[in-house]
Amino acid sequence: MSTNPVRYFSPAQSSWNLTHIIRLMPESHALFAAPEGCTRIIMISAAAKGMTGRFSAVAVTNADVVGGGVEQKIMRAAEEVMRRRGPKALFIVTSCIADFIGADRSIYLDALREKYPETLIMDARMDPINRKSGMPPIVRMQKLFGDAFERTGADRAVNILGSFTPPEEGQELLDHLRVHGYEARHVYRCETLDQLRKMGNSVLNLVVHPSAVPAARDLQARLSMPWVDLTAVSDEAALIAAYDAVCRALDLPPVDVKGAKSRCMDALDTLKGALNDRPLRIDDGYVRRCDLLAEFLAGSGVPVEMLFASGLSDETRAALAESEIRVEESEAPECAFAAEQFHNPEAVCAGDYAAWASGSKHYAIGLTFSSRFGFGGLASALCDLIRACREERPHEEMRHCGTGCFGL
Amino acid sequence: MKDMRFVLPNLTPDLGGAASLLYELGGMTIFHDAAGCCENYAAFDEPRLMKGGSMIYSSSLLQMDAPFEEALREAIANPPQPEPEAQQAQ
Repeated sequence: MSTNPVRYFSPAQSSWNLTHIIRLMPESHALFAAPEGCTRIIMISAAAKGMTGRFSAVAVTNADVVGGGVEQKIMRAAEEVMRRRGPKALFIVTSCIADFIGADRSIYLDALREKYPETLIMDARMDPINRKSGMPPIVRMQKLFGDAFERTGADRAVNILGSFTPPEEGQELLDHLRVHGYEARHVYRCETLDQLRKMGNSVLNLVVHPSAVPAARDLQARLSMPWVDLTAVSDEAALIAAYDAVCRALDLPPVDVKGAKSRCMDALDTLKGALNDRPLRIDDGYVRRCDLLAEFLAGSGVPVEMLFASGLSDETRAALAESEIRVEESEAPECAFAAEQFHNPEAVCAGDYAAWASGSKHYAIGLTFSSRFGFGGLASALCDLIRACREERPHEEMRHCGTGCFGL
Repeated sequence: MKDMRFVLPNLTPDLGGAASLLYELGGMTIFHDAAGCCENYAAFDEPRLMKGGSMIYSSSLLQMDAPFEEALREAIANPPQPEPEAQQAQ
């Protein structure tokens, strides 16, 4: 048994799963080969989005585990999918049990690639058991998307890697690139597999989430695509330095952040007024660096009362304490009592866990895999919080239209 | 082969259903899983959890825990040393 402490799961966990990620691959089909309990939630999520035609499942049963033949069963199911659907890309998704029984994936992957050379056959995994070893499932997914890129030319374009939602208007770096004739490409915007493949013709990759760093490295090695890391930005100086790195790579003048910064400061003032002395509570599902957001807001005069987060370093906790921000765990065993302990329906909440723990209907749902970065991205997050101050949302939306659905 | 079993406990055909039955009884439910099974139940299957009183936990199983458990972790922490004679022979 694991020596890790048990992890608490609140009912406000957001409905984000592989369904929402895989559907981003255009003209693809996903075959989930796993026990029915694993695949069921995928098929339910697919049905909720009206995408059952793009997902199939084959059950790995007790008899398969004991008697063998899982690989052949997957092969037969994949051939059936190819006959009926004929996708241009096929994800074959196995789960933790495939590792336990030592399934030899090359048996079906090699055979399928030989039989269907025009189809992109991808080895995907829904194996959270590997989240701290080997290759975590989300990292593998990022690499699979990158594997589809092909270089057939050179386009005046950059790719955004790591996020699952498209970049929004008003992001200063992307505005700067557009002014200078560069297209910002994102998998979300690809309507065909060919469009996705042509992302390999872009001149630069911008990585906005650490899970895509291995994919960016792969692309640098395979297609000689340079990349710039935008994930380590912790303050304005680091942001400017990252923008400068992008501009140097593209031989462009520096980015002017004044306009976006001004919009951000305006949104900050509006947020302070909209809060009207109510406390703000943030959780670690709202943005990837929730600690930096909390510190920034507190330092700007926003009454940030509490941060729900797990896995923060002692250094980060000390910095938050200095800003008089109370830190509470979001996954520890005692979180089972959070809804009673932290009940405050007056609080305005950034993130669904904070809203659930507070019992507040004034909440905004974020996405740690979003394309928001820079002052423009921060301004968008602040605008969401302003709306949360002014409007109530039923808690049921967390479950039925949680982060995953919000991101689509 | 007398200990061989061709029928194993179900893997995960309906963990959510089983956990929902336990919900009626109150108390604590722990999924011995990596995270996904528990998350499915907590986030999708059991709407009554939103009313509070949800003591739902996962054992956060990791790859290294599953097949070898303590033995593997102990082996990595304290790897076996070669015999002195074997070292001298190199």
